[in-house]
Amino acid sequence: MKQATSLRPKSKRKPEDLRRVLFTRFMMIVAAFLLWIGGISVRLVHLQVSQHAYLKDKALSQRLNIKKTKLMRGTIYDRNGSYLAISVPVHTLYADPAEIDDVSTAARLIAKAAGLNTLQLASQLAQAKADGKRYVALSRRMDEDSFKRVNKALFEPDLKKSDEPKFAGLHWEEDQKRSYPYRSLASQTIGFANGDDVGQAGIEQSRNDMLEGDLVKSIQERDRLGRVYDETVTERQPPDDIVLTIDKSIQLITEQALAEGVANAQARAGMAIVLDPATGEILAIANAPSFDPENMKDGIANAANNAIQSVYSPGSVFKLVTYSSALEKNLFKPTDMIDAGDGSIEVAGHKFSDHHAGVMSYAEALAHSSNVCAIKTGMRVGKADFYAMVKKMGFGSRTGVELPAETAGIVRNPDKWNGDSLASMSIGYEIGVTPLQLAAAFATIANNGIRNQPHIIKEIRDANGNTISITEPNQTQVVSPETARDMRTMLRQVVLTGTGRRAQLDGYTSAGKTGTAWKFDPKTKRVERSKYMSTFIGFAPANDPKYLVAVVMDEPKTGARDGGMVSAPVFKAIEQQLLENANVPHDLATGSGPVANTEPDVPEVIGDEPEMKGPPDEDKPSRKAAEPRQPRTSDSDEKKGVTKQTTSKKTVAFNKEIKTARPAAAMWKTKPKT
Amino acid sequence: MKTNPKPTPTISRQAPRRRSHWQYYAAAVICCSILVAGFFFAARQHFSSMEYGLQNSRLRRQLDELQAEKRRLLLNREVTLTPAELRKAVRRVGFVDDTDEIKNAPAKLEVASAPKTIVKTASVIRSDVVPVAKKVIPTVINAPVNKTASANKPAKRQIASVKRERP
Repeated sequence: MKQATSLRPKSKRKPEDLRRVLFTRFMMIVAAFLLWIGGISVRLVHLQVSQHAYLKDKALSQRLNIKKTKLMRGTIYDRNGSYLAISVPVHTLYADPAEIDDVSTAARLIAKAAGLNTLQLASQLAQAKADGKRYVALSRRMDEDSFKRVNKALFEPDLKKSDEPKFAGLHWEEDQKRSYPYRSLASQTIGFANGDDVGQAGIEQSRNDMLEGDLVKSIQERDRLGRVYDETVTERQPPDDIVLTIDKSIQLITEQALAEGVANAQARAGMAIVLDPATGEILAIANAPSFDPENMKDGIANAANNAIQSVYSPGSVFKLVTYSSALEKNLFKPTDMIDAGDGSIEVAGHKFSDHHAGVMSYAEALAHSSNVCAIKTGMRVGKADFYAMVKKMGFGSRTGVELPAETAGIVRNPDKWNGDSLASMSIGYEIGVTPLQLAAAFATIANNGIRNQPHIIKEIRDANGNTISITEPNQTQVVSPETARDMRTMLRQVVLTGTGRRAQLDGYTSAGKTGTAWKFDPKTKRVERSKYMSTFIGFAPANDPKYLVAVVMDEPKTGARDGGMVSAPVFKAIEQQLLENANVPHDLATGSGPVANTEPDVPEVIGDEPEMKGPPDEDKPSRKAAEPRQPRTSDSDEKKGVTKQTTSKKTVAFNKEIKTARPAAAMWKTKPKT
Repeated sequence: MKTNPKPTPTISRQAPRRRSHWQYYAAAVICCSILVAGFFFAARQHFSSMEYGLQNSRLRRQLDELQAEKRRLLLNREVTLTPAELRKAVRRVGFVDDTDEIKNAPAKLEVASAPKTIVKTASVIRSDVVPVAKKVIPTVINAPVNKTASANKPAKRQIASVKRERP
């Protein structure tokens, strides 16, 4: 050991030196570390302070994905739970041109998969790429089958992409499409929603706030492969669903019968309403022609719901109000007699006439739609009471039905009436009504004088199907039950022996009233001699009404064209099917057919032409009656032997009122007056 | 003779030093183990939460897809129940649907005869074509598939007879 130790070279450095060297080296290493750490710190400060915003955005854009989707629009059901309008998810294919390297090749493949035009697509993508656009919609609202087909066709196995399709630069966007399974069924009532899912007509429009889904924002965090590993979704209340009072079967029967009636009469249009008089529920509203909400190109012109949006002069159906107000004042009993004289009456210098002369009962007067008797009755009622009854029946104000653009009709205040206005209104002129207002008035009589506000929404449900609101209509006692009963008896007479015989049902009693009116031409400011509005409103069974049906035909061109000829058969077709389908017990022997009548089939008298003295020629129904009145001459002019055409200021004002009341003017009828 | 008395105290000083070093090492190792285990646990939790997040996302998407599919199926069911589709289905299974023909028969005749006179129009409306047609429909539709052709003949004959009876 000693030898070995001796052989070892002795260190020349002293221990102090060695310690200093070690210390120096250590300090150098520490300094290097400090420099390194200092450099890193400086860089960190630079990145986190100077470039904070930029880097934060960049990091978030890589990791976070903000997605905005709309909740599915609420569903519209019929009263039995059938889907009348429902939204389904669809997909929109879009491209991000910045992510596509070879535009022409991509366009060829995409066009083949999605069934697009290659050249058009290539130019579209190239243009968008040049403009720096990041969103180019290629195919909108594709259904699930197309979605799967495109995903299958555009699959690049080597591409690392989190979403479908596995094709560079292509993405799907979630969207929704409104579907109407029954297409044109109740289309004017349901309405339609546009491409942005905003209701444009019908219930879709009036209850858009309930049906439209909120925008939901979800923040998705993605890993390096693009998979979502965390998601923050802003919860929103799903939209409500609406249950209508419409019954799809009743609606279908009504639409079919109306379409057939319109075709038979070669009418320009038709409207039909089915009401439950006991509740005021609208079971069907039909308009012909209709439209398909899923194919709006052809039918947009027919989107208006004329049953509530159009005003027309009702004609003789309005005699319901005249006789009801008289009965309410106990002025007569249905069996009392009234003298129609020679079939004419002069009121304030205006001579009204028809072909019904002599003495008859009030029931017969209504059954044969005698204008003279109605005018006499109206005059006995008086201005104030007649006007009060008109308002109580709901005319001149909106019914409140939950549909958009309902019109109130035209009812002038008594202080604006002319001398003959009461007489005119007693037979349904100088007043503008909607078919729904008329239907509601008849329903009042059918429901023992209690008026139920017509409504079309049965209930509102939340997304889980829980009922959150039920419609309870306002009820008003308009006339006494006795008056209503007497009116029903009189209306029954109309169907049995009067102008509404074609409304007789097989096995059921029915009651109703016909009405025919000329249309007003706003261009000429006179009535159109060849254009009618033909109405029949009735209910059955007569003593315990189950369904009330109102049928209005716009410009029928064939046959007699009056309400009894044109509209009553449609009423019959609808009512008969409805009662049988509902298994309503018969209150008449079946198979007996129409009750025999001794009167010839003559159209209802609608005019007030003085020359009109008897039944018109069957080939030219009411043609003479349709002639507008000749201008009256004043006494002084007569003395001078000069015929002067004058128009009263009130008439001009009234015509203006009609003209501004909507397309109303197109369906208006009034008497030309001087 | 006084010899060096150092050995005893030297030994007694070194022994406790060794023990204290091991304690420190052991404590350090334990701390490191806890730290590593903590990191490991945290990492595991992190990846586990990511995995759950991915599963959650998948399930959420699946739920959305199922709800969408449900809506599509409901729509398809409703479309299938529409009169137009039912009519197609009736034809597809071999039954003859003469409702259109029967329903349109009086309409066509009425339109054709309507402009002539009121009396003729009235008679057309009052005719018993529709009740006759109602009697025919169930006979035809309820007929077995293999008898459809033969069952259809009487119905057509009835319609023809109705047409002949017209004024």
